[in-house]
Amino acid sequence: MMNKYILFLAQLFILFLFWYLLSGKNIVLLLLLGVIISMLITTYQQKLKILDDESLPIAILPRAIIYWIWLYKEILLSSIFVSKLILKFPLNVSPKYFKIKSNQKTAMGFNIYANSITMTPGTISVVTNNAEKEIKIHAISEETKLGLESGVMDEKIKKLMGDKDV
Amino acid sequence: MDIVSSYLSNLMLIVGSLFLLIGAIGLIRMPDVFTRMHAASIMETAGASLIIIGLIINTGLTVVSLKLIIIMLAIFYISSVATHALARACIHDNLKPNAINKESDQ
Repeated sequence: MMNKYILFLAQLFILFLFWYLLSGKNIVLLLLLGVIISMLITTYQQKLKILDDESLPIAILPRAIIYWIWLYKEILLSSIFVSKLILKFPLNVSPKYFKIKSNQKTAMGFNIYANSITMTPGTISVVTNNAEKEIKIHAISEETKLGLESGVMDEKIKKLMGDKDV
Repeated sequence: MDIVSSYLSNLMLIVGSLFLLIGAIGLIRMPDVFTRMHAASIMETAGASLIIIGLIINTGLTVVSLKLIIIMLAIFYISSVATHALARACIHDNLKPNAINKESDQ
């Protein structure tokens, strides 16, 4: 569990950064208004008790950047694979519909896993079951199915989530 | 340096547009809803992100490029959630994928 004050400051910083990026002007009045509004929002969030590790996962952010780079590489590779499949002249697709079991311990890890599967072209997570940690998957071909069943992505996300087991 | 970055951004834009074109072709050629969704997911991940990266290289490090990064993150998150919702709605509506009906290639 992250410290309450660190979470508060991080949320304040992120909201203010968002404000500044969208306005893009260095006028004192606008900056002051931004600070006040971010303060109000963050205080209200803390009052509602929705500001916690799950809504603002800054603890895993450094590892998440490494994971995103790996995921982006996977997305490009499987995009090229699916593109080749589309452009083949006699269209020859044999889709697969199957169930896969995940080794994630946390709900957030499971969520990241299901979203990553959907983001990668060639596989879609259709029905998710958090209690059993099972996902029903539609894959466009045998190769993408095998790539998912090798469990590389599952291991990477376990490493990303760290030693948390709630 | 200027020439290199302009060529790089043009290359990214062209490759991204190619992915969009291939996705659109796949959207027409594929046999059923689920396989069409696979074709659409090329467009919204590889196509959109390569075009946005090309635009970021083109503008350099300004407020505009940071806004473009926000747009890219939003597209990634929204499109994956929308694809999942669409697939789940199809299953909920008793629309069986081709993979279940017959283990043959269309």
